[in-house]
Amino acid sequence: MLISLKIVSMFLFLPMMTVVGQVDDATKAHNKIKGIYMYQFAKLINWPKEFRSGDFIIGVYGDEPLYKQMSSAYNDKLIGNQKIKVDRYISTSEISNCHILYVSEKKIGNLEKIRKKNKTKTIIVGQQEGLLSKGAAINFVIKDSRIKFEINKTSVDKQGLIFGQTLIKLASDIL
Amino acid sequence: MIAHIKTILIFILFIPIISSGQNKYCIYEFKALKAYDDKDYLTAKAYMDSALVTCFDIKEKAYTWHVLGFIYYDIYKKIDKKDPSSLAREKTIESIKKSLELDTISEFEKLNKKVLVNLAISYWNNSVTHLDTINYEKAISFYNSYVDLYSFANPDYNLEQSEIIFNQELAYIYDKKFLNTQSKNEDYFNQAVKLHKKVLSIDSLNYKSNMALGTLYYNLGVMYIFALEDDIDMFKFIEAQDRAVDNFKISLPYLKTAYQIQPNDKETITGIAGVYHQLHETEKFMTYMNLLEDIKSKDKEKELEPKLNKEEDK
Repeated sequence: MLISLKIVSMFLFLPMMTVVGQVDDATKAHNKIKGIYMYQFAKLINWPKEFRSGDFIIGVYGDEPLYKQMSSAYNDKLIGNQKIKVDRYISTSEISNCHILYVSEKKIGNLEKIRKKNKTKTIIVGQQEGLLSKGAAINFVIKDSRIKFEINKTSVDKQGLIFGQTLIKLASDIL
Repeated sequence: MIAHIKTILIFILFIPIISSGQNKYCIYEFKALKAYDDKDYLTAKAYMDSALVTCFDIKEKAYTWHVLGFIYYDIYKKIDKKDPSSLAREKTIESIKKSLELDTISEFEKLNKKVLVNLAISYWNNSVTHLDTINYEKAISFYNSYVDLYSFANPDYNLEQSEIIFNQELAYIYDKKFLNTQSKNEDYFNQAVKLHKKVLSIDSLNYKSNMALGTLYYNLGVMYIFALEDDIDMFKFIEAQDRAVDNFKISLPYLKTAYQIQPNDKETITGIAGVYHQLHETEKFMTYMNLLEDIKSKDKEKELEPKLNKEEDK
């Protein structure tokens, strides 16, 4: 009897462990992964000479949490000799001179407009099924429960940019 | 009055020395008994030491070790004040075990075993008070002493329940050490997992360990991602994402078992939803989030019920 009483008392002293953060963690983790990918895209694309002066602009259109993650992680880091500057855009009119632009799912309806405006200058990244055929250069896809990416090599070639071999090797699909 | 009763009891306890003819008269033993009666336990112990050296054949008597065991027991309780490092506790056990070994007619068995059980409980209590991130190794040692001694005194007693509790709480300590140390030593994580799996080998439907394992693996997966350096090498990054996903997948069956056991537990449902979210399984994530909302609104309804009834009563 004494034993069981002591055992019960131990239960009261020590707390249960808890799942840390749960759902919020998932969103943060997804943004961290996307942020790393975006930085790697910047690093692993061969940019022509005309793209290699001034700041290296990574734009985020319509996804504030991703913008926050990226700006805190990558602002002032270097791509070659260029300082990264992460910009956030609320409307299409603000978008200009990005090296890479992430367009959130909610804003993807404006893709055509953005593309026409930034035809030869910007690598457009998004996340939606079939997005490459709509003009994005890189599309995040979910495969085997992981965030992966597919690339539109044809359109990027036309822009005069070259995907590095690592990106080509790791892309889940190439158009 | 109590002192008189104690004196009588002690002499009843020690009658065999004089009346049964088991022993020849041993002056040191007698003096030890007297000192014990006077609550002078250290003197009693010293006389018993002399008795063991000088009095022929008392070493072979269960009674001698029974008396010595009780003297040490009182030293442990009253002089050492139950200090966890008291040597008197170990000496008590040693003496009482010797008495039990020599006690072929079980004359002192009941009293001897009662002392052993009490001391086993004292080890359990020490293990509880030492179970923290600094002293946990001592806690393990005390717990092992508890198990050994309790099993010795009560071989048929089932210690599974205490094993479950101790392993779970120790696992909690290892997890805490894992999460709190900057180096994230995975040995601590592995120890925590091992202990919970041990619990599940005893009771596969133990809610706490299923939930804990699900949580441990989930947290490890999350940690793999959050620990990534922002400019990590691309291949290492892909590997880390794989490891994270593997851990999310391992966590899921444990969380689902926990859910089967406690289907209305909000934390479990949130955990499952979190894993599905990490695995990008949006439909399943939404299913569990909706379930969570249902439970929350039912809880709210329940909270309001008594108030509504009171209003109606008016």
